[in-house]
Amino acid sequence: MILERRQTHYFAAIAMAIVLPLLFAASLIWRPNYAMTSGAADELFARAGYVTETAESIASERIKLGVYTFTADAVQVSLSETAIELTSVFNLRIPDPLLYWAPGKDAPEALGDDAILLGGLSGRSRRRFVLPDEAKSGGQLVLFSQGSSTVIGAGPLPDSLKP
Amino acid sequence: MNPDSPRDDFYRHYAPMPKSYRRFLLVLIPILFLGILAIAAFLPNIHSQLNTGKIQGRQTFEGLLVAEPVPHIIVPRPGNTENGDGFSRYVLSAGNKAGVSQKVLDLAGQWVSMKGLVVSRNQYSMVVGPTAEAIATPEGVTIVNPTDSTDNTSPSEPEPTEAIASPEDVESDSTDATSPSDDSEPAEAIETPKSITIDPTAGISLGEFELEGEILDGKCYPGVMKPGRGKVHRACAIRCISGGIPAVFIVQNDRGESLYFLLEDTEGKAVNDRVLPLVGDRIKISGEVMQYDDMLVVKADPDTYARM
Amino acid sequence: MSVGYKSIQWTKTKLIYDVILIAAIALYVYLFITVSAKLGAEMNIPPVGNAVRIRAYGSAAFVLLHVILSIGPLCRLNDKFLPLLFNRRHMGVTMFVLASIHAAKTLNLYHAAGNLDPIVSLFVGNTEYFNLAAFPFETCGIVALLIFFMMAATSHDFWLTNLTAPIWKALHMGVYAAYALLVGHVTLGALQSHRDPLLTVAVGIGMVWVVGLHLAAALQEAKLDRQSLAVGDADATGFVETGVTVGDIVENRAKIVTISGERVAIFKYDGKIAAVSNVCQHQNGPLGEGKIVDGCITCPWHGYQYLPENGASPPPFTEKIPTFDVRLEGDRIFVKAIPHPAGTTVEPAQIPQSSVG
Repeated sequence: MILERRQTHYFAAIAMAIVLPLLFAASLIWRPNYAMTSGAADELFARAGYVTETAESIASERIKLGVYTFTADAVQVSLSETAIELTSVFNLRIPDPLLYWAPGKDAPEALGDDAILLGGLSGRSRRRFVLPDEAKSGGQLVLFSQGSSTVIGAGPLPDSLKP
Repeated sequence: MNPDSPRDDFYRHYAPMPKSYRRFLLVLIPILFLGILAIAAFLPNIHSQLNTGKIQGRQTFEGLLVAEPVPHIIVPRPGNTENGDGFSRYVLSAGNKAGVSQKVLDLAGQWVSMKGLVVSRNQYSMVVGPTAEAIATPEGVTIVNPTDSTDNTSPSEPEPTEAIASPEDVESDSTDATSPSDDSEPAEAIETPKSITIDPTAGISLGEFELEGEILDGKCYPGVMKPGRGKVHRACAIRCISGGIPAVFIVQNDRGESLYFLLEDTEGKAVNDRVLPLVGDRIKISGEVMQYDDMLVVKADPDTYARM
Repeated sequence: MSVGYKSIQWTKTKLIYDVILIAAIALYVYLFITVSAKLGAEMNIPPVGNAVRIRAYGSAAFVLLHVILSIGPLCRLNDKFLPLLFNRRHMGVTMFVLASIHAAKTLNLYHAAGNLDPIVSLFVGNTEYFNLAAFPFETCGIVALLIFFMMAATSHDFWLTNLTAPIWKALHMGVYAAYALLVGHVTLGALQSHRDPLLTVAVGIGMVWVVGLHLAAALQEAKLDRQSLAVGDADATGFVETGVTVGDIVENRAKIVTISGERVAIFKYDGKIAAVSNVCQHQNGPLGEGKIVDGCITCPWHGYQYLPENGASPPPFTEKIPTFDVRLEGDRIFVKAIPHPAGTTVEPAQIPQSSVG
C-alpha cells in the first residue's frame, strides 16, 4: 500500500485499540440486570402461591399427574397448619395450569362441581397449596389446564401428604 | 542460497502450490474449519433463546369480554373455587403487532364465545387474533358492572345486553369491593347450573408497592419470540405496544420466578403510548397493586415510571 | 493481468477456496440451528425458528468478519498466510450476504406487521442515542451493513481499475469503521440481553485478537517507514545511498527501502540490480516482498507481473509501475530519489563479477 494508506491503517488500528476496549467495558458496566433483588415484591409472590420462605418438610413424595412429574412436600406452615408444596420436575408448558383436589379413588376425566380449586401452577416454580379438610380421607390431585379446558392428569393424594 | 529451498518458496494462486505452503495450509485450513464449527456448536449454548413460552394452539372460550384497562376475557374456572380465584383472565391481541380487532372490542360487556390462538408462558396466557360472537349469558351467571369499550369516560357504565345489568351503584370503587369469589355463594356451588356473579371491576387492593421490572408486550414475551425480552427485543416490543398490544410489566425475583402486571393509569386506562420510551428497560413503578381474579394490575401515573 | 473484464477469473485454487468457504458457512448455519433445536428438545422448550436463524446468520457474519480481518495483518507477519489473501474479496461478499440475511430476517420478525413501515420502525422505534445502556444498537448494524454493501458493490476489479487502487483501498478501509460499529452492535445489543459470561469473553477475545493483530502489523510497518531516506540527502546527481548492499539481497528477491516516505523495491537477478516502485498497480501490493518468476517481478498478493527493466506487465497486459535509476559503488546500492514515469525503460546496474557470490 502507499504511505498514506499505511498511515490510515496505523491510526485506525490505534483508534480501535483505544475506543473498542472502552466501548466494551462501558457496555458491561451499564448492562442492565432484570432480576430483581430488592425483595419489594416478595409479599406479592407469596400471595400468588410462590414459596418465598422455606418451611419444614414433614414428608416428601414424587407424584405423577399425566406426563408431568412433581416433587411434593408436606410442610408445617404454622403450629396448627400444614400445606403441600409442589415443584414440577420439567417446565409446565400448558396454558393456565391449575391444581385441583377431587374426591374419589379414580382419576377424574373432567372436573365436577365437587372438585376444589387449590391454586395455580407456573413453570418449575415451587408452589404452596392448602388442602381442604375433605382431603383427610384421600382423594385425587388433578392437574387442569384452564387455557385448554382439559384435565392433563390426576393421581391419588399420597397418605403422607394428607392434611 | 538455493533459490528452490523452502524459504524461497513463492505462492501464486494460478501456479502449483509450493510444498511449504501446502504443508502449512493442510494444518491451518482444518483448524480454521473445525474452529468455526466449534463456535457454531458452542454459541447456541450461551444464547438465551429458550424459555417456557409456547404457542398452544387454537381454543374456544366462553366468558365475559372486558375492554378496560386492557381488552381481556374473563373465563369461569370449573369446580368449587371458593378458596381461590374463581376466574381466569386472558389478555387479548391481534395476530399482528396490533391490539385486538374493533369487531371483537364492540362486544365488550357481553358474554361471548371466543376462538383464538392461546400463547402462554408460566402462569400467563394470552388469546391472539380471536374471533368472537355474543351468546346468551349462561343460566346462573350474573354480570355486575359490565364495561364497554365505546364509552371511554365511564367504563363502569352498565351496558344493556342480554346479560343482567347490575342494579348496584356503578361508581363503587374497586378498592372496597369484594372479590367475585366472595360474592358467589359456595353453598349453591354444587347446584347445576352453578350460580356465579362476575364483576369485572371488582378487584382487591393489595397495597402500595415499589416494583422493579421491565415493560414488554404481552404477546411476544409469552411465546411468539425468544427471548421476547431485554434489549434485543426492545424495538419489537415498542412496535407491539404502540400498535395496541397490552403492555405487561414483568417483575422477577432472584429465583427466576416472574409476576406479570398489567398497567393502568390513575383513570384506569391503558398506558400504551405513554410508556414507549421505557419499554425493555429496567424501570421502577410505584403504585397501587390491584388483583382482579388471577390478573394483577399496577395503578400508577405513567409519568412517574422511572428508569433505573 | 486483465485485458477484458470477466465476472470472475476462475482458477482451480479459487474454486477450492470458495468450496471450503461455502461449506464452512453452510455447516456453521446448519450446526447452529440444529444444536439450538436439540438443546430446546432436551428441555422440552423448542426455540423459535426465525429467531434462531437471525442469530445463526448474524453470528456467522461476525465470525467470518474476524477471519477476514485477520488475513491482512497475518500476511504482513508471515507470508504463509498469503494463499488466504488472494481471494479475500469472495469472503467479504459472502459475509455481506450473511449480514444481509440477518438484517432482512430481523426486519421481518421485529419490525414488520406493525403500525409503521418496517424501515421507519427500525429508525424511530428506539431513539435513545444519548443513553449508552438503551442505545439503539440496530443503527450500528445498519451503518456497518451499508459500508459492507458499498464494499461488496465495488469489489470487482472493474471498480478497482476505474477508481484506481489508492482510492479503492481508501474506500475499502471503511471495513475498520464497520468492524468498530459491529463491536458496538454486538456489545450494546446481544451482550446486553444474553448475559452468559462466556459469550462476553468470546466477543472480547475476538476483539483483542483483531485489534491486536492490526496493531502489531501497523507498528511493524510504521517502524520501517521511520527509516525513510530523505530526498534532501541526495547527492548532486540525485542519488541517495540506500544502505543496502548487493550481498544483502537474495537472488530473484528484493530489499525494500523507503525514500521520502514511499517504498522502493531493489531486486537482484541475473547479475543485475533494478529498482522499481514497491506498489503494485493492481491493489498496491508490496512488490518488494514478491519474487522474480519467469523473468518478471511477481506480486505476492495476486501474482501480477512486471518486467524489472521497464516496470511494465508483459503483453497483452497493460499494468505499469514507476522505475528508478540504480548506481553501484562497489557493493553499495544507490537509487535516484526521483522515479521515472511508470513503464519507463531503465538500464539495470550490472553487478561487477567480483561482487557476485
